[in-house]
Amino acid sequence: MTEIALQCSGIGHRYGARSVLSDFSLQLPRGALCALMGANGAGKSTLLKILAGHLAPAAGQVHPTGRMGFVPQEVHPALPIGALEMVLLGRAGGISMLRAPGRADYAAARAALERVEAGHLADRAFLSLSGGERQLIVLARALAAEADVLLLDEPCAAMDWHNQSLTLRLLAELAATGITIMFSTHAPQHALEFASHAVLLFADGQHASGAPDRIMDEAALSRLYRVPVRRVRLDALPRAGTAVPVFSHSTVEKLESS
Amino acid sequence: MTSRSIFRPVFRFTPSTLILAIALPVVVVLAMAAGRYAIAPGTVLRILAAPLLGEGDWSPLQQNVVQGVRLPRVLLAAVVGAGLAGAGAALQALFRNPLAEPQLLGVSSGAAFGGVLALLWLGDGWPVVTGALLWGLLSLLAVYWLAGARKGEGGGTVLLVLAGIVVNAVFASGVSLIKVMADPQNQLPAIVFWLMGSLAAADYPRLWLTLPCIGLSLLLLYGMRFHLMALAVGEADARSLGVPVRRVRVLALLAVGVIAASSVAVCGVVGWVGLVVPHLVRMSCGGDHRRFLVNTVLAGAAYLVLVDTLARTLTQMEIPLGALTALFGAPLFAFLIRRLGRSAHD
Repeated sequence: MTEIALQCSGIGHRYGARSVLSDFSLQLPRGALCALMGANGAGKSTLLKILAGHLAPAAGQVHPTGRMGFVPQEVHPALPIGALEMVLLGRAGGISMLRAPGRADYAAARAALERVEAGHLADRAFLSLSGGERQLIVLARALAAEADVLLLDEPCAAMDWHNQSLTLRLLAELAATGITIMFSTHAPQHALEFASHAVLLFADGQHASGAPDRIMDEAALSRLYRVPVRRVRLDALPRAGTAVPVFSHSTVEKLESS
Repeated sequence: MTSRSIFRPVFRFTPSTLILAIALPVVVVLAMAAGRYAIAPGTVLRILAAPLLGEGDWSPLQQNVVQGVRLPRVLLAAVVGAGLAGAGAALQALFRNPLAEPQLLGVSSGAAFGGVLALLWLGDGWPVVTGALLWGLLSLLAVYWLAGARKGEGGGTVLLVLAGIVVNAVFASGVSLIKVMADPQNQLPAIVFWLMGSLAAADYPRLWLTLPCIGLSLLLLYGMRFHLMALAVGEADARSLGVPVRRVRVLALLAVGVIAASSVAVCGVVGWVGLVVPHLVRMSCGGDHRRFLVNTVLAGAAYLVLVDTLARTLTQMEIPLGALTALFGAPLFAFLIRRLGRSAHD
């Protein structure tokens, strides 16, 4: 049996009268790369915050097994801060209150920046960067923190395709080194191509989890996004039999008539 | 190489820090030369160096003016200016608000109330200093208690600002009441003038009282400069990165409170320094945490020495320091706002 790195049981939460999660349980082995999908408001961010310990769930328990790193979708510094300093903040947990980062911390921060191919942004002001570049910086910050479990809230939301691919490949590499990762996304192909696990949060509070190719069938995806979804087989993809979900109404109609 | 000394980065002088570190003593010496009784800067330097180099050809009057009158006043201005600017910089990070300054916390009002109360009942001098210091610290406790910052996760920054507003209002009305009760011939003018802020009463005892209070507080803030920057990025974010948010906030508030109370105690309410100086420094030298606080403290010291020199030399009668810092601070700040607004639209 593989080592369990992230475990939660019976998680439930509500905002006022609105229930967003109910009886959610999950076990992820060490090194898992888990994609979290769901419609807007289905509770993706809430779940990630609960797992990260930012939010106390109304019901259920999280059993953390290591250092948790949370990567928020957006960071809004109130005062000007440099990109390298932002990455450096990832080291804060290891720096006692009256100390400042030392040489090793700067080296780790620079290495993390290089890892996300953003070394050239080191001296830029964080707020002068584009949304996608900021997400790269915040990702680098999580790398600098050297967490055992990474929870990322839509890490690719503002990224162009190059940076999306860079980020997902990086997450896969990190998972291969034994870091357990869970990220939310609105692109099912991210899950099908890169993830080892998938979690679907349906609007009615139910959920499904398992291997992406197995649970992300047309019925589940149509139910998840409330649009007709077809999966089209592309033989050129590396994982044999990977099918790409297509959610455009016109494409679905064209496929059906052919 | 992995040891992280809190002092090591002090010696990493960057050009901006170096320029400020040279500018400050120059401003201090020039300020001591200026005045109704003008003394050549060279003579000032030689008088200051007398303990090392021996007596020279200056008059006893010159020596008395430099050592007895101007040196404590200029140094007190430097210490208070450094403290107010550093406190402003810390508060702006703490409250994630570029408009925060020491008066926001209500500590200045509390200290002002204590000083005015002492003027009413006990007379001028040390009672005022002690009263201001004690009431300032008391109002810090009140803000803290109101915001519920001692309990668990309470005491968010919004609550602290609200508590500061309440404490401010209570003590401001207290000051008004005392003004009504004061004897309009003698006490009221003294109260009004003291409230406008002045370093005219500067002497060595006041300097020795203020120096350790403000010096230790600034050292504490300097030690926490990295974690204060983390707080400026966001409270929840900082917490998830492992920053001891509550402890940093408590200690920073304590430092800022002590700075605000002790500066009101020795020179009344002097506003705008904590607001203008950090912004000037951020715009001219950048906000890198390794040098930002040091630069701000040096610039704040030079700024208040400069303004206080103008306060005592511009006209026959001394101009209240608080009036001048506001007079210079407000337009300077308006200029900064315009520049910020323009760069935001670009």
